[in-house]
Amino acid sequence: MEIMNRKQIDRLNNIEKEISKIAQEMGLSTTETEFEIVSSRKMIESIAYRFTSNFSHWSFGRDYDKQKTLYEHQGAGIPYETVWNSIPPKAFLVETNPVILNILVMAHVYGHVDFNLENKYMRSAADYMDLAREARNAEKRFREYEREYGLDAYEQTIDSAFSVCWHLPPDLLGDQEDEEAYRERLINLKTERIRGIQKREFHQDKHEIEKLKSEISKLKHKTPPLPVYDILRYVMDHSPKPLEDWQKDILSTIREQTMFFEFQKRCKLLNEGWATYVHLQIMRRLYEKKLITPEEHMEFSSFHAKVTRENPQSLNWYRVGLKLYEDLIYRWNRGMHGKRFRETKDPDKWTTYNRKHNKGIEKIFEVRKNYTDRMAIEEFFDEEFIRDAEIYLWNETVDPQTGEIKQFIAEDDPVRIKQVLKNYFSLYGTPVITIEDGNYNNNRELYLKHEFTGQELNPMMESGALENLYYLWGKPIHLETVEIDRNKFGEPAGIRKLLHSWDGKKHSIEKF
Amino acid sequence: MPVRRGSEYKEKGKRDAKRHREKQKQAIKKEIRKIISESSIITQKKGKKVKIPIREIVIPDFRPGNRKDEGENTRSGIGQGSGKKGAVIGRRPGSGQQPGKPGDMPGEDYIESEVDIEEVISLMLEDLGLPNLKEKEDRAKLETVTGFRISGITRSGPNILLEKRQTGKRGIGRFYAYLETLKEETGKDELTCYTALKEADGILGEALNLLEEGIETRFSQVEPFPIFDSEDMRYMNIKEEKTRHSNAVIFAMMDVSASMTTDKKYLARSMLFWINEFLKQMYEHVEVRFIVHHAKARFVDEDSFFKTGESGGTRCAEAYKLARSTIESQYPTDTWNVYLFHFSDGEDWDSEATISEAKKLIDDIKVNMLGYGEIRLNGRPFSSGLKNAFEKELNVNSVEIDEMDVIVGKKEHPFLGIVIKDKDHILPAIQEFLKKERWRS
Repeated sequence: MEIMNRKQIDRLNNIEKEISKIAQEMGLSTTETEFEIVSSRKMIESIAYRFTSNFSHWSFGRDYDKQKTLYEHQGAGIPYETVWNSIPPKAFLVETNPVILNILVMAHVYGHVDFNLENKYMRSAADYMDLAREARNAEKRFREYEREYGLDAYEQTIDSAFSVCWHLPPDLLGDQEDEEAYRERLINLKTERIRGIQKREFHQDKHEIEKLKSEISKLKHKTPPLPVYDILRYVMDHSPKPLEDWQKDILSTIREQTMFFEFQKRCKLLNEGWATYVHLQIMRRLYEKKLITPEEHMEFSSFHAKVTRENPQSLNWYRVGLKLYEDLIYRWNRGMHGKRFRETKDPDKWTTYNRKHNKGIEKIFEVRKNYTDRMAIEEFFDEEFIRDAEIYLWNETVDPQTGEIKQFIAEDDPVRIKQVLKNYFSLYGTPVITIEDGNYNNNRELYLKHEFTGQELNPMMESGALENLYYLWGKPIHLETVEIDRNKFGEPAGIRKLLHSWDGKKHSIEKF
Repeated sequence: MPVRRGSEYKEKGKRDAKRHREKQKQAIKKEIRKIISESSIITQKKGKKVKIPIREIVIPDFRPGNRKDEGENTRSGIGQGSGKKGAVIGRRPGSGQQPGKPGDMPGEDYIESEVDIEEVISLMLEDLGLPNLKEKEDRAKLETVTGFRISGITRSGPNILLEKRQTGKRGIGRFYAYLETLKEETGKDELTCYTALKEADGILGEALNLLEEGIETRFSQVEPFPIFDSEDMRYMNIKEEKTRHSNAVIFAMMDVSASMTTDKKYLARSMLFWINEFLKQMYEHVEVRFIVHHAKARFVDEDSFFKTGESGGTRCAEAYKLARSTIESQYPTDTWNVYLFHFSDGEDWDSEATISEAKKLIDDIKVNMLGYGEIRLNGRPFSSGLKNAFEKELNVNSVEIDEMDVIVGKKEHPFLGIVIKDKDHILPAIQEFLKKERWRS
């Protein structure tokens, strides 16, 4: 049985004090942070369940199995860090990890703590800081639901909620107005406009007034009055099924948790990059202060290399995020930005370009304070950066010889990659789908619309998602989406509107 | 102190992981027809596990994709590394791919799971067995599993099988280990440490906190209590309890003449492979004899039975004759249950002789069952095929089951013929051949 001994824990405590001091010297915000020493099993569980504890569901079990397999295959040391943006922030250290790895994790966590305290976006997620505790309470309530209403209904409800939970309002911080209040406001606006027209002495546009009046009468009955992005919330409030209270509780809990993760998702690159940048600085200082041995420093370097290794199939946030901050330091130290720099077209001159501004550190502190990933990508991912960071897009195709699916680089042109990245990050991977009508066919059927932004939907997943949504709504579901018409070379030649419906028994697709 | 021992949390993952694996099994069951028709399973090396790529279960959602790729579910993404447009960066198994060939680069939503043949069989062949099985004088060899008995201790199992004494012993071991750790780390005396551990309900981190805060000794002596961690649990291992039946012998007969093309042979082999595997699992010591025939018939061993390719003309009667003489000399039906399964494409130079041999087997020798599978690809009808001859000459009823033409004899005439037209018929045909309840009055 492995139990970390008191001496080791004392050392971690001393180093933690030092890390906190170094962080403050660097200009980072710090706060009392709880580091809990746990077993690897618990660490893996908390990764799978997203919180130290959460409600029970097979998909968490699946992720637990997956993480465990990964852990067992990679051998010693679990270089994961989990930190919860709560008050006080809390992080896990794995008892069987080498001491140096735990020191690295602490240094890294200090980066996250600063980011979460300082970044505008993360600060506004403060409403969700109690969610870890909420999750623990949800576990107890949900256990009762499972017992009371049976595993099938319990799982179906959660599965269905997970199917659509990422469809949140684009602006997470905006006021979430009640539908009736919103309807009233819209009607008042239009009534005001009619009054405005009627007040005119001339040019009383009768036609316009009639139009506004008919819009008002439609608004009185239309649900939702305007298209809605927040699918779970709309379903929770308006499902004709009707949903039972326990199901509403599940939907609302999952929606809240997703909101919390959505905030993190929108700053993932900047947050992980920042923490990686911070841990590099802190580890160097610890070494200079002789608080870690040369052997430990070597060990740290190899862990760091592992964490920032390039990933052929996905964006390694640690690597690309760190690279972004390093690039910003370099460019802002030399004044390589702004109009004057951009006019220096000759790339040969770039290597020697140096106006000795030394504003690099200032710049990265500003970026970590005011930016989201989307903003950073739009502004700083230029051709050079994308090329330097060796970012590409890949696709899959079936290898006709072996039947295997082959993954290959589909695009290495920085200009087009940037376009795709911008599209992707403007929505953070979730297609835009709105609820257009909650009373379609005058039968309380649900009509959804997919806003085309360049990509079709995966048809297999789409069918399943419609079926799941039907479980929550209890009436036919319709999805308006698109199909790309292709010419004989397989190139896009136009788009065609589709209406995919599921009535609880069969799928039908109408093409326009 | 900001860095401290965490209190141990209750283990959750295991239960939910089990639930996910159950869902995977249900998914396998849905695809079982496809899985058992995979050729690589029956051509594999002996004793090797069948590897079936199993997708992890994914909750469907609205996500980007390609509408043309229905079923294959290809993806796209962002990655980093050196490499130009067109360079291959990874592979994963496709859904149409044969098992046993895992991709070298498992994709994100892909788990390569190994499934035993036994597991596949138990999923597909519930409630099946040898039909028309009879009690014979010598009940020495054939066994089936009818119950369980306890044998030894293992590290995992259901709660109902928890071995309380062994687990308790380990729990007490952990109690002393924790007590020593507490003494060593705090320097406090045993009784104080014991008080803290008792107050903390056995949670080490909490006991340390209590000791740091200061705690009064409340006990005059140490009374050890067990502290359990998941690795301390011990469970009773159970073994199967077997019942003995009379002996049984199976004759697996296959037409390997020139007209049996690779595709036809493959269907015949698949059928016999699964029947053979099933009987081996269901009954211990069931004997299986393998006969291949074209114009002549001969015995071969199991390995070559599933591999040989031959050619020549066809006399099915030869195989029946060889089986009959072997039964007479080695497997007398007063002590043996005898089953014959024969697969051919229905082309027979002398179907009259075959019918007369079949009648001898059924009526004179009184075998328990003669099963006949006729492989007809592309639905090509043989008006003169063996099945038609059987239909005319034997005392059978014609029915259609699962879109297959089936001819069934009466109880005193245990003959069963099935026409197999494609891979999809493998599973239902096996289920017909091994319907335990048939001919039971």
